[in-house]
Amino acid sequence: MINSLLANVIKGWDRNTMASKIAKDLPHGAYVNLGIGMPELVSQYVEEGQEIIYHSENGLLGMGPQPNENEIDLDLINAGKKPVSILPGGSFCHHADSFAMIRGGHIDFCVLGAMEVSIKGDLANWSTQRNSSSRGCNGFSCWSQKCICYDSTFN
Amino acid sequence: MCMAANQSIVQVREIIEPHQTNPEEVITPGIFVNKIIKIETPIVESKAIAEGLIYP
Repeated sequence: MINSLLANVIKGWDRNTMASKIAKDLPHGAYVNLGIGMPELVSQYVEEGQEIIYHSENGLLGMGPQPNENEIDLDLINAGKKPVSILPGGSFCHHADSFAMIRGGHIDFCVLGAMEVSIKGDLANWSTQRNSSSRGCNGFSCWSQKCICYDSTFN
Repeated sequence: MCMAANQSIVQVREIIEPHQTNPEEVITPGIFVNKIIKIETPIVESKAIAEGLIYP
């Protein structure tokens, strides 16, 4: 059993395949937080007829895919500081309100990047390295209430 | 108030399409709302009291 699992891990999916698989797994109408890094790609792969309301912790609800180059608005960015778009019905909120959504258990799913995951699912997702801009204890501490998808490449 | 509730039921006069809202003007995002009840002409409470109406 473990051998067959390992075979899949070694073969692996690339970043985009993984993002599209996660997007397909999300149920219609779910509120989903996307973490920094690979999870950001998930919002690119929403299927037609499927409505997923993406949340970004910097204060965006109803986040859309990456905009075209001529539509980039640098005031409209996701938690990973990359330009995004906002879908009809989306809203902006205060950072504290954004965390009230998270800690109040209103978000249904979170797609979280992991630094290391063991074959049993044990997770290492924080680091104190000085030479990186976005490491720290990450959002994991806030996400213990509901379902979480890990999203990471295995090397 | 909706933020603190487990279930929030909101009474509204009008329901509009998503693209008609300005992201900057939304005070209570839909994530905090569970149910919506549309009542176009709600009773004004002070009038109801003046008329002696009571809740059943």
